Amino acid sequence: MGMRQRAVKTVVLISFLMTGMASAGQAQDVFDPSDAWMDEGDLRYYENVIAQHWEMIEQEQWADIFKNLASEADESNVDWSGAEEVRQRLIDGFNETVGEISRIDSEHNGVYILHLDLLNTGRFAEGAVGQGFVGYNGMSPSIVLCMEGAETAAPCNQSRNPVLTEAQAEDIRYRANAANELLLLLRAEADEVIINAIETSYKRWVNFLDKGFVMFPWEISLNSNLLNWDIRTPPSTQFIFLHPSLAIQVPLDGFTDPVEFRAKEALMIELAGHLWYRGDYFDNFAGVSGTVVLREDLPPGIGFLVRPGRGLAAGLNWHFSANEQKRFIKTPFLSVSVDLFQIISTNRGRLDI
Amino acid sequence: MHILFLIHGMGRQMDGWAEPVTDLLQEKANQYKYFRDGTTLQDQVVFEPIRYDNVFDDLLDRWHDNFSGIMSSEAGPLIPEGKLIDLMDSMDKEEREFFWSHVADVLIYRFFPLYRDRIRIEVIRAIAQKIQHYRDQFGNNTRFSFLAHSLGTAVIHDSLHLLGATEWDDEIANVMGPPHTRFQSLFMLANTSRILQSDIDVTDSIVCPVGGHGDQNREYLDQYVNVFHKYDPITLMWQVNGKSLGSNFQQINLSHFRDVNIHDFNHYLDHPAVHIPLFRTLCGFRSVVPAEQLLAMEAYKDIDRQSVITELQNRIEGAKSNIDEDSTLMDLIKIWVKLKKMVGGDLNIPI
Repeated sequence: MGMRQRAVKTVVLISFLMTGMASAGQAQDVFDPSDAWMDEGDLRYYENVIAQHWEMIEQEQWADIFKNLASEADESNVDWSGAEEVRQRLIDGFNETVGEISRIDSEHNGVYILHLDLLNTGRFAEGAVGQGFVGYNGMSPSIVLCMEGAETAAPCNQSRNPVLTEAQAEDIRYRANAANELLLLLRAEADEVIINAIETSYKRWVNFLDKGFVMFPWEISLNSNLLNWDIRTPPSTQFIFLHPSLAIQVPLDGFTDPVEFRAKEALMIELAGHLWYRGDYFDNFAGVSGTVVLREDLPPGIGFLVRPGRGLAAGLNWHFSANEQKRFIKTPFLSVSVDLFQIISTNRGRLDI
Repeated sequence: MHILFLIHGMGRQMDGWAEPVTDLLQEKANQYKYFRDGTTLQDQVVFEPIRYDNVFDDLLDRWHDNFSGIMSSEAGPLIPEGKLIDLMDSMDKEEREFFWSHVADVLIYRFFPLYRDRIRIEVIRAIAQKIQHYRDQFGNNTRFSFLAHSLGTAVIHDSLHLLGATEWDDEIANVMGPPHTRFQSLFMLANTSRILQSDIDVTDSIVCPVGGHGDQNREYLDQYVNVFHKYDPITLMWQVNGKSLGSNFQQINLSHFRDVNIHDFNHYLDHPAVHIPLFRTLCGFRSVVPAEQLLAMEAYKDIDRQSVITELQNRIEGAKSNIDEDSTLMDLIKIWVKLKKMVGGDLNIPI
């Protein structure tokens, strides 16, 4: 680099820094991301634009509305010298929107909500460009509002992003913001549908995992491998595998003979089982499992467990007999599975656990 | 108004987890004339913390309640001791606490796909609801950005991809995704999205800045800022490379030491190379003028107690020598546990 070039670069850098420093602390202006600079009385202010076009909005004459926006931008009395190409980009954006809306009108009878894939409703959304410049990335090529003193900072060092006057930048922001608001009005119903769909998915996931039948790590792995789901809907079924839980056992003859009524804790292992979730939000489930029951005072028992609904789980088990002559003890046992988490979480506050 | 979603990293959080982060940002903002003389940071930005650690908590609680209930019952002795119990026995108390409070989150997110999606839907729903809420409150031109740390970077990456790329309704296009909706900026501090990559390919996802894929239908961000610290043990492997993502991907490389916990959220934000681009994104280019930026960068010393730095650097370099291209996530996790003082959220020891 020659001496002269270096000197010029230094002068540019110093003037850039000085300009930047001088503008620090100024009130919000059109080049800042906030909208504090806006004059609500300006005819280009989005609320005024919506009010002007209200009848057309009600009649869904969206293509005509955007044609109006294009011609109003074209007839703008702002001096566009030095940045004519930037204004043209905005007008091109309006015209592209007219083209997309017209296609939905002609091919799909103006049923916008079902054909938003044909319309870019984010084209006029304001964005951040480079380090803090206001811009519109939805337009192609994008529009950047470059201010005096920032010519050397990317992206304002590109010829397609000239420095704009305040009037030019205001014109772009007023008109683009109004267009953005109009498109958000057009698609408002779709926003609502998507947010409701996300809420439905959320409820299903909460019911499936937070309020559903707890899975131990190996069961999560098994179910993850065997089941299909996506973020919209968790699996509607669940496999149970080697699932330990606490059970209370009562011999069936204990119900008729108070002397025989001996409730006893046992370790129940559900060897394998299956659950089905029911309801639009998966708010209930039912299932069956094959079980093994272990107790210190008796040989192991085998049997089954039925879950007719959330929170209910009971089955029968037959314990092997210690007597070599008999395979099983004659009296089967009623086994009630205890969902400890449910009990503890329900009573956590009361029990101060 | 600009809404900044804050997404925490691994470890247990409290409701006010983001206060130290927002306090630091306001303290840093006051170093610059724009914020001292004019509007404050809070006048222009709403900080919106998102929590997802409750999902991990609930799961661990459920396992704990079921296991401890069985273990304390008459049936307890019938349970055989397993490998996990042996592993826990091999750790000291501090390492065990660190494992359950930090590492377990990462393992659950990476290896339990069902719970991974449960966490994602928690975050997706929070973002969708807040967008609706703030648009109602401040108007449709409200801007939204994200500041994520550590595990939170992987969570927000995956959640944003699914929010924008999923066909939530069978008939109606997803207007929460691109090109209909685009977020202003994603700041990723200690980016783990490639380390924890599973079913969503980070290089091909829609969590990409404009120009990154050359297709506006697959570009969800105006800009992506990736902040990498050379000595952060969490991101020793599989760094995010944005070379192919165009000019709206910004890489910030750090090597400063202001805290033993190099990985801490605030240790990243403390550096002017990080908080200045953030302030400019939130409040405009002129919120920190170039002269102030030069001064701040010049004044910010990496550290002045060289002996401590040398020790920390040696530990990291020693850890790095134990990994290579064939190393696994488990190798990396072993390093995290060994270097827990440098990555644990509650072990901050200012140098």
